[in-house]
Amino acid sequence: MSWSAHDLEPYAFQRHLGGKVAIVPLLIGSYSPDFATKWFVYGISTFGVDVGAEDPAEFHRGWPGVGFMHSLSFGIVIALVVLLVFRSRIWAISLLIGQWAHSLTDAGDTVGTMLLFPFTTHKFDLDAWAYAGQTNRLTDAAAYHSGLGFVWDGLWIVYGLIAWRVLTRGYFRAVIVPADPFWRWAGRRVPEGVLVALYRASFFYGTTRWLAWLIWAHVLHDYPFDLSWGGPHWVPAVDRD
Amino acid sequence: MRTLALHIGVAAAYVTLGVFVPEVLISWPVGTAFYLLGVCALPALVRRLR
Repeated sequence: MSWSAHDLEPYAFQRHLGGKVAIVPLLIGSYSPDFATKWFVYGISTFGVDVGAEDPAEFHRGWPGVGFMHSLSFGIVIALVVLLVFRSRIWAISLLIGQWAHSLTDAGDTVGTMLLFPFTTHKFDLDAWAYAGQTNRLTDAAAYHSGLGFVWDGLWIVYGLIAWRVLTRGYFRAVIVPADPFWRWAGRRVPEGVLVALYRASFFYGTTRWLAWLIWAHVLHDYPFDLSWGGPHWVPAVDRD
Repeated sequence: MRTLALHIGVAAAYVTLGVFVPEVLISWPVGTAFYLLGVCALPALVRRLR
């Protein structure tokens, strides 16, 4: 799994595709594979009762489970639904790009994603960083920010900072608003400054949490870096190969 | 320049809070609310009080 890439990748697509995409569905698509399921992967405890998946990695990425949400066909299905309901090509395409980006990015870990579901339940994986969602949220965060996962997220941050003009008010007015009627509708109800902030919010969230997790894991705590392929190896990674 | 300084300040505050209370780093709504408060609500309040 990835921690900040899903917040940041949409801005890179925005930079390259300009008015051909809409940022809101792009972000929704980027978040959609984990939507409403991540809490069950880590589990929660309420009134002394533990609720969570018996096999978190299989629930998250496999079948039976919600692993189909990380497949390319799931992106096509939700894009078609949006096209049929809202009659908006730009929303459908943006949603599709966001969901595909998430599914392909998560194929970077040791579990991988069922990209070609329902044709096969094989999980495509690059094994670049450890999948440790079965541990707990904090250990998973520490592991991710100790291996190549945080490097991957860091690349998107660097790219975003290089392409900083995408985050300016001028770009928002010239490209973002004309591309998507949502912003004109929202602009009649909310001041422009708030809309610009909303537009930038995921970039802010992805960048700051990346930095905070790094400091938390390596300054406040003492988790060792391990940038070897498939690392960090100090965490019991799930590898379905 | 003023906008950039404001963003850096809000980012520094969020990172500091997140390091000591990592639960705030987990939720997108919490992160976004913090950001909106820092770059929109707080400056608007300061302007009104002046």
